[in-house]
Amino acid sequence: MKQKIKSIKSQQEIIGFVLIIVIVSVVGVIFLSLSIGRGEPNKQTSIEISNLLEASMYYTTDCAIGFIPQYKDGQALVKACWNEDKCLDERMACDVLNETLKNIIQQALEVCDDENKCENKAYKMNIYYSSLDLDLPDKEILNFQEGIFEKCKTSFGGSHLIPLSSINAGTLNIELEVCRS
Amino acid sequence: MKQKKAQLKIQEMAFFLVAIVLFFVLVGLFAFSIIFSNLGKGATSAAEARTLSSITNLADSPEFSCGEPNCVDGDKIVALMQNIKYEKFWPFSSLRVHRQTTFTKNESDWIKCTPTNYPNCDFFEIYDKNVKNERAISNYVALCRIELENDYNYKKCEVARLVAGTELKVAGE
Repeated sequence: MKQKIKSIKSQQEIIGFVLIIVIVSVVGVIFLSLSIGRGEPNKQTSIEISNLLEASMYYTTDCAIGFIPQYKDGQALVKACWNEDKCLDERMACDVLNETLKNIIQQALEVCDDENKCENKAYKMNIYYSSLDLDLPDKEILNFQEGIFEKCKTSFGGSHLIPLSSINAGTLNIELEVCRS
Repeated sequence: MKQKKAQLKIQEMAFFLVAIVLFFVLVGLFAFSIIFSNLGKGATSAAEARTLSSITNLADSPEFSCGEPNCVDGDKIVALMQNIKYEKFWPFSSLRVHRQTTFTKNESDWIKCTPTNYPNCDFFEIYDKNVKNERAISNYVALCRIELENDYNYKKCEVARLVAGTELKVAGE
């Protein structure tokens, strides 16, 4: 009698053990499917965006320094903005840079909420200074955004670096991130 | 009695083995999901890089280059447009350069560049073989030309798109 009770108990233990394993497996599979299916949107590096930034660095702006037609290109204007220079017509280089880059990016990357009309939902541009001394924090120079950076199916971006070889040795970083709907 | 005990032990072992197999299947699935998600990312960026590098190389070729990387010379393009030999020079079915004005204008309003109206135009058509199935790939480039102001020459650059068409081969054709 005692042995029968013992075997029934051990059978129950085995069934319990199997149940636990099955439950843990099911929970694991659900967790896996969720983590694969609903992960954060992939943030990719885009050559196209990097090329757009590179091309905009050649763009001839209407900010002349010295004499006309010594107009600054995009890259020289970023440096001028970092040095807080002014154009011949007394405009701040940073204001011209802001206006020029906004204009180029707005025209190149059409942004709207309706995914049937355009494929880009939002973009954000960030220009900052990074010192060679990694302990020093980055210094923001300019940033602007168009559209709302939410619920992106994919997000991709590019960057362009301008090395500085002066007392403030470091790099000026230009980053553009695009949210695609 | 002994037989029953042995059966129970076998059962126990069988369930234990099932549990171990399930555990390793889960671990395997997890590892695969990580590996394949990275593979997917890699494949997408590699395909994009391959396609775009062909046009980037084109922009940097002596026939187009303004002397800087990813920069094309408007005056060279005008010269290229008049030379029909270039249709066979590049492996593209069509080649165009869209100026910055085309980013905001309707396509129907675009003005084709010719040696007489340049630079008051919107796009350069270097050549077009007029193929049926064509896929266009494009890349942003800087488009520069030499301008004269106050008796000084200077390089004036804008953002443009270099658009190359490739013929899609349909099976059986």
